[in-house]
Amino acid sequence: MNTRIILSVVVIALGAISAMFPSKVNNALVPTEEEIQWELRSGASFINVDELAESLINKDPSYFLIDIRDVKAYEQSAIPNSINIPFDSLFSENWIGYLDQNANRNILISTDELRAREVFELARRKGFKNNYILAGGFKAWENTIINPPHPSVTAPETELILYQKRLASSQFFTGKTAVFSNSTTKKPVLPIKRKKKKAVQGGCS
Amino acid sequence: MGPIIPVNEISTEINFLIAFLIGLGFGFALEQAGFSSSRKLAGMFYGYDTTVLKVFFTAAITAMLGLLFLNYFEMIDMSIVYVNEYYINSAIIGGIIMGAGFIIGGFCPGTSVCAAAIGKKDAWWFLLGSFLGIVLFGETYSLWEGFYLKNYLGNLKLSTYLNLSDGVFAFLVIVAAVLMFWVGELAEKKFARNDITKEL
Repeated sequence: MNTRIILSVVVIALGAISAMFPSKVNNALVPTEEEIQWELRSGASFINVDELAESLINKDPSYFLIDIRDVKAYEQSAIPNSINIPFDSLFSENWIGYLDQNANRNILISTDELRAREVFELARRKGFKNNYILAGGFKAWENTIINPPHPSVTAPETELILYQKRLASSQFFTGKTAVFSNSTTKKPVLPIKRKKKKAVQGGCS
Repeated sequence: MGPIIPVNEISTEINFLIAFLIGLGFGFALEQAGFSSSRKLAGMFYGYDTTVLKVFFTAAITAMLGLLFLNYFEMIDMSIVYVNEYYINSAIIGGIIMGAGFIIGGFCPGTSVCAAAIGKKDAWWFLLGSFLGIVLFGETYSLWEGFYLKNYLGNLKLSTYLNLSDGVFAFLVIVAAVLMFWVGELAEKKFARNDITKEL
């Protein structure tokens, strides 16, 4: 048989097979459930409040803060520069573009981190990247940065330094005056006076 | 089965290198298929040589079937394959200009580069004309902008527009292509001319 006729038949047959394929959409960017859980367990998808405070103070433009609490809670108090997109409307057509983007690192803020985790998982299942969870949520922000707890007396020095840093951050975000505790400042070490040597006494002298 | 190349992001430099290598391969294939001859290309319009139709349809069908099968076996993600954006006005006007240029100059943009590479003087002039056209268009873009961007339909696929599955649409294209192939064969016999290239 003529090669051209054979080729024509083969091509039409392949086309007929492809016509019978059910329409199918693959999405290579969507991670598997295990991958999402691994991302959560590894901690790579979290940012802690200290890191966030530092980046806000340094005016890091790559962070974009999305507060997913309800409007009332947001209006009462919120992290500076955050925008409020309540959880219910976050996946609506108007707002989903904020989650599905490649320009910024989105930080998801909820009261504690549970809702933010939920949003993160839903977004990952859709293949969206660049979303991070604020570890501990807004509560952690308030209890750590805005009202930092005083470290215990026996706390190591690193904790004291962190406390000072948090106090400074608190001052930056709230405008209140920082009061440094004296206990954190080192006392000058005074030289120990040695007793003067006396000439050997006693004995037969 | 995973993607063929399990790399999500390729750096711009590597991207250019890959594009360069594909471009070389494409140019080589065009040259080998005889597309650097303007007589062969213009033959499409007069019916004595339908190689252009056959080669481009074969390429389209191969790529189309390849994508469909790879998609079916989950080796390619069609959702991130770039689909050209469709501006109706621009497509129509651009098509007319391209067709006119093709029949007047005897080349299409790709084949002109191919022919220029093997030293054909008419292709050099053709390329010069193309570049002048590009510069002219670029410089006067503000005049055309409104018209150019009008009737924008986005990354539209014909199959979506016709509400057919990609597979069924591919089958229809293949049937049309095979019919065209045979019509081309008949045309070549009917409008046959002596092969001048061999005489020269």
